[in-house]
Amino acid sequence: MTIKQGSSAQPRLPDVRQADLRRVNALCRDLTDCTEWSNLASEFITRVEKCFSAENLAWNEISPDYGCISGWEVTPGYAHTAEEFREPLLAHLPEHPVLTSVGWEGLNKEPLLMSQFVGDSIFRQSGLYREAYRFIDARYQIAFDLGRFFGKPLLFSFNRSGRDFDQREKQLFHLICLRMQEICSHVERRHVLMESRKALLDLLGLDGSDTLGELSSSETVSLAMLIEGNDVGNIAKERGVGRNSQDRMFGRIRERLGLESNLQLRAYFARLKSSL
Amino acid sequence: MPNTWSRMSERLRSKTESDLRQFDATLALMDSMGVAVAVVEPSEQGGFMTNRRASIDLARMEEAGTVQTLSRLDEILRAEGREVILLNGYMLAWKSMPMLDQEPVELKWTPREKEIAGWLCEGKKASEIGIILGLSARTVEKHLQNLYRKAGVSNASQLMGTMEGRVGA
Repeated sequence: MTIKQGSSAQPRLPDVRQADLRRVNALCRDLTDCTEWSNLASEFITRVEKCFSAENLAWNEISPDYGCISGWEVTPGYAHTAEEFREPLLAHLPEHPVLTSVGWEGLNKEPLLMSQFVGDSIFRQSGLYREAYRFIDARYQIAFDLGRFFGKPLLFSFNRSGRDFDQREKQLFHLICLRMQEICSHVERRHVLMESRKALLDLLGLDGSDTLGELSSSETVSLAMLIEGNDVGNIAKERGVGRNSQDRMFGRIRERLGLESNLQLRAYFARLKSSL
Repeated sequence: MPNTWSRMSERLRSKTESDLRQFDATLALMDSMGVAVAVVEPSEQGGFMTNRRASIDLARMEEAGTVQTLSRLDEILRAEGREVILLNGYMLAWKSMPMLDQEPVELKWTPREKEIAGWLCEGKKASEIGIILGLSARTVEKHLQNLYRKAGVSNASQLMGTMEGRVGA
């Protein structure tokens, strides 16, 4: 079985400094052990401010048809305002200068700034500004579409009120997005694999917290070979381990299941098999 | 940022591979239990991760090349009258057809052999079966040898695989 890995091609981001890169990598290292999507979003939001001086940061999950923002996680300072102006923000989203200029497709190539597409005076006349952004005071936004995860597009946006983003910041934001693209892809795969494994063990009446849920991969493979009718000597030979090691391994499995012999172990799974 | 980029990618890759090894082992376990499993591959291209039985079944399906979604695969299996035993957002598991090397054979067993086979299915050893049935262990072993020969197998575990639902203790 093979699985496609995320792209690991190194991007060209010449203005990013080594210190920035170290901070981004430290952020990513902390996130690689996440298995839950919701944890990943909140962990990212909590930690990202150490890498990037964004006043308002949002992790936006978009509906599969790009019709609306279906959910968001925002930095604590932004949370109150974002919630208060949620409705006008969503209602006027189609007026977003980036979206009206390049559409959603344009956002997955490189981070785009609102100021690239519209001048201040014109933007101030839009409903998006008058109804929402005026109160949020975050006129300068940069956004990037990370791709689809769990069937939904994920968009990162950073907002700022004081000044626009320079080239280095734009590249740093791009770096964070690309790194997170890999992390999100990794977490999605882990989630699918772990949920699927749990469901399969449930099917055998052995959920993740139960005895077999704690089986290592080599124990699981050995068990599968035993159930298929291989004797312990052959299994040991096939796996390249000693007969005694293999015996001890089955001993541990039997102990967990409260069984006394390999024959009982086989019978246990034969009964399970016929009950499926 | 030459090496740090690839080091992080490598770190992620090795973590995913470790999860995959564990999942592969679980797929093998399901394979030994006669269950075919197809799991949606979480990538832009889609496709399935499968165990041996599922890949054989997918190959048998004419539409295998066009099956892109779990729901489509589910439809085809049900139309073929196959028993789907698990369907969730990521995964479909169904009862596999007998593998070619495990086609059921017509077994002509004597009543005593059936009785012994039934106790074997309960996980009893030859000596224990002997005590239960009032026979010597050697006699039970002889019966077992005959059972293995008739079933075309070489050990108790393989015998169990061939006689599911055939005997009762």
